[in-house]
Amino acid sequence: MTAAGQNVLGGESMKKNINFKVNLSNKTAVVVGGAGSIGQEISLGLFESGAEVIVADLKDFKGKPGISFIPVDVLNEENVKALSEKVGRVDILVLVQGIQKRKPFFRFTLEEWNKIIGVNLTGTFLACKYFVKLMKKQRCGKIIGITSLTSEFGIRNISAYAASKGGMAQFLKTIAIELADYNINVNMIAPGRIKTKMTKDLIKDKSLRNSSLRCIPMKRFGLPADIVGTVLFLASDSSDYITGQTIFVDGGWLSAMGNPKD
Amino acid sequence: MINLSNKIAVVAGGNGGIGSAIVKQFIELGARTAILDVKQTENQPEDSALSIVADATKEQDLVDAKNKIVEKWGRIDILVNAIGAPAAAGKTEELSLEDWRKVVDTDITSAFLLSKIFGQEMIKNKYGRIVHFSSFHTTATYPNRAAYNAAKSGVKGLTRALAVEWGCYGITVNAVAPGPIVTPRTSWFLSQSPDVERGMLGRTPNVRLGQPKDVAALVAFLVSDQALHINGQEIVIDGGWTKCAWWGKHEKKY
Repeated sequence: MTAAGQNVLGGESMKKNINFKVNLSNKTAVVVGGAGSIGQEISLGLFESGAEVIVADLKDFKGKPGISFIPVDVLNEENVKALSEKVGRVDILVLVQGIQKRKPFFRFTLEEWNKIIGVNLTGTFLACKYFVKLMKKQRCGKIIGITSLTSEFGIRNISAYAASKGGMAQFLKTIAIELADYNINVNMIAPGRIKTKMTKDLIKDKSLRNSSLRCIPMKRFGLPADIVGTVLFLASDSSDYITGQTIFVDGGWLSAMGNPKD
Repeated sequence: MINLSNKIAVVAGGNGGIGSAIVKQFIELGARTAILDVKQTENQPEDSALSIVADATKEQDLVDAKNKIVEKWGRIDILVNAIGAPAAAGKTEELSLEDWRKVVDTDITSAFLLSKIFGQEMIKNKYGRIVHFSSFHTTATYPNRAAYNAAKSGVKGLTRALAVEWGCYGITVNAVAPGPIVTPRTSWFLSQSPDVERGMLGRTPNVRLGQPKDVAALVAFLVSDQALHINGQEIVIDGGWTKCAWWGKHEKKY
């Protein structure tokens, strides 16, 4: 095995080139949280696959011409409802809005806790509630929730985030069953450590970076673009019979225990 | 309080580090216990223990063992299969078919045969408790132990299959999946360097290595009446190891 931080294919500097092609023309996609690091890549990927893409986010999306932006606060029910009415049709709903704070759980204030649960979990509920109305009428739809490795496994100091993501995973699994007979697929992608604004501090710190890389058999951090291929697959009709599932995109992290001599 | 008096148990692999702890636990809780292993078991109380030399990959050996136990004690209530091949086998691209078959035979063919032969008695009596041993490697793994991982994951699948098939006879079938346990077999591995133990402790949220008696206590629970409604489950006993995705160092604070 090569030194931490490198893999035999060229380590972290490996450029992504998504060759996976799906045809999403005539589809409308709404990406909630589409202005974030992973959200942007997803929005671009859907757009390049032919979909009409609407980014719904609190912060402005300075993406590509052709992708529209509608501001939304997922904590505000009226706001989410208005968004769904404005959009009118949705074939693909991607839920990638997410916030996080890292510290021991007993240091969280109730306000901080509620905010994280609110954006990540309650925001998912509200977006699904209103967009599913449209999908049910159409008798088709794809909901893709970006959860996290922490939806199933413990990592220190991100209790609120982990709880929100675990809740999100169970919520989406449940509605996958409720919506199956409307021909709506609901699936999840659980990313491992991806290079984003949210993880910038972890990746910048050398010892944290190296200890993270020890966990990852592929010996590199994921890039936001690494998530896109799976989103496109789950948004396409190639995945019509998959529902209620989580696909981990983590470079092998969860399959590995490392090497006993590590 | 767990009470196994009047129960007839079989512990396959009963001479091993974990197996012998289970035998001890069972006898303490009142079960009459047959110890199945490839070698005779010495120094056991005559009225509550029976040592039977058998190769669990040979069907006739197990039929003979069953007859012996039924002749002595009348029936079989509990089967614990604590047999396990050594985990490390080397790189898969260099693994011989012979070595592969040895591990698969030791771990999963024996699990099938033990279940089959002793299960027949349990089906007849409309009562049974079976506990197999898988491994926490069914969840996540080290490199270079493909045969072991495949075989132990197979045991997990067999457990599920039998639970579904035999539940209607009043039989429960569960699996125990231990993390690193301090036994004669693992002690060579731990003694390789202090880094190995340190590394394992650093990965274990409870910051301790498992002891055979920890596992024996879980097995005793699973075969007791308290666990009547637990069926087809794999219980991981690893101090939290496989529930923690972070490989940072855990420090003991107790």
